[in-house]
Amino acid sequence: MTPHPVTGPLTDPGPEPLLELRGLRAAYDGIDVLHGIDLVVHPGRVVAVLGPNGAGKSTTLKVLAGLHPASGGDVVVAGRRVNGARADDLARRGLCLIPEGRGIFPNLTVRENLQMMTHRGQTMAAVEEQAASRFPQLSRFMGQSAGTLSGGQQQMLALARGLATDPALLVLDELSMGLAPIIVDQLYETVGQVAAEGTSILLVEQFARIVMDVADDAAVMVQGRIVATGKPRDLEASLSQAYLGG
Amino acid sequence: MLEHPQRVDQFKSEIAEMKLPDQASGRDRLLLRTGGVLMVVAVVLAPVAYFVSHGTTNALQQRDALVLAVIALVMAVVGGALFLRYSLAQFLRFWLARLSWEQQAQTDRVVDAVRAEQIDQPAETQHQVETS
Repeated sequence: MTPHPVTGPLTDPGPEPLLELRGLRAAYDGIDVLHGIDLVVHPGRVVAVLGPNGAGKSTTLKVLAGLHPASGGDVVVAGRRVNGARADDLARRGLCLIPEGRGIFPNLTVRENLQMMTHRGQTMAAVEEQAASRFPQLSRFMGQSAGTLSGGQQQMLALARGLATDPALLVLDELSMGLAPIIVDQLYETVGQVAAEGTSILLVEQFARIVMDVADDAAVMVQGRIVATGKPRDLEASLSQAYLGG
Repeated sequence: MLEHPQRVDQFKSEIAEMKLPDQASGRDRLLLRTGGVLMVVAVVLAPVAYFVSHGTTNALQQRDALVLAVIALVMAVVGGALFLRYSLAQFLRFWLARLSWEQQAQTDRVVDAVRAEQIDQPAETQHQVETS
């Protein structure tokens, strides 16, 4: 299958999408950075948004998570237009964003960081057990400040925290940033397990190769626009072109 | 393959029940409050201007107090207009909703009455045929 340039959303026959972006626009200080993004995530699917720095990938995630206002278009979550919804309202219901830079509390211990994620009613013991089963490394550092962990361990903690909320839609912003390839592989192995359990995932990465084994669909984003959609494997050429400014 | 559809269903129902802030009503509320605040400030500012003017024989200070009083007057008028405009809009919206609800209820009552009449009518016709 060859990548094809698109202006429309990623489509997939099946149930109602869990997330749909329709002509999404956003701006910083009046300057448009997203110029009408169309994207669909169906239940149980993993969708990757790929593109170079400054393409608007993280902004897209911020807008859909309620952290940045949309200047146009619709964010439709579970069939409902949620433009203007508060980020904490969406998070409490199961839209979990793991931001670029991990978003952990560096001065709190690993245990305290996990404790912050018991707001959906899970017990601390269950959260710790789940974190330890997914990332056995973490159990050794429960009493240690999160800021003293390595980058990979911090990302594991961020992922463990996100998964502790039992998300219906997991949104990952550049999980691989600044990490060694072996750690990235480990993290994406866990993401693959989570996806196999049926959690819908929208992830952002700079390189198609990283998400090839995990993502069902992918979209290439350049300068605030989706320029191609398809399977990650098929989009490498489009992505290279995007990096070369083609 | 979706292995826990119940989580998706729960997510959908929770999102459906989520309260979304109405941005238009938020702006209305802000302007309504601004109007109220302007009126309150004007009420405070006007006596202050009076006492400033009254407490001095300096014509320049009296003119300043005069300007202050005019500003208070303008604030009162603008605040009053804003307050009236947005409180009235709120009331009219409520009144319109109530009116449309009452009309709907009235229509339902008329429809029910007509249906009941239609059901009764064939029975009466049958009765007339039998007596004749």
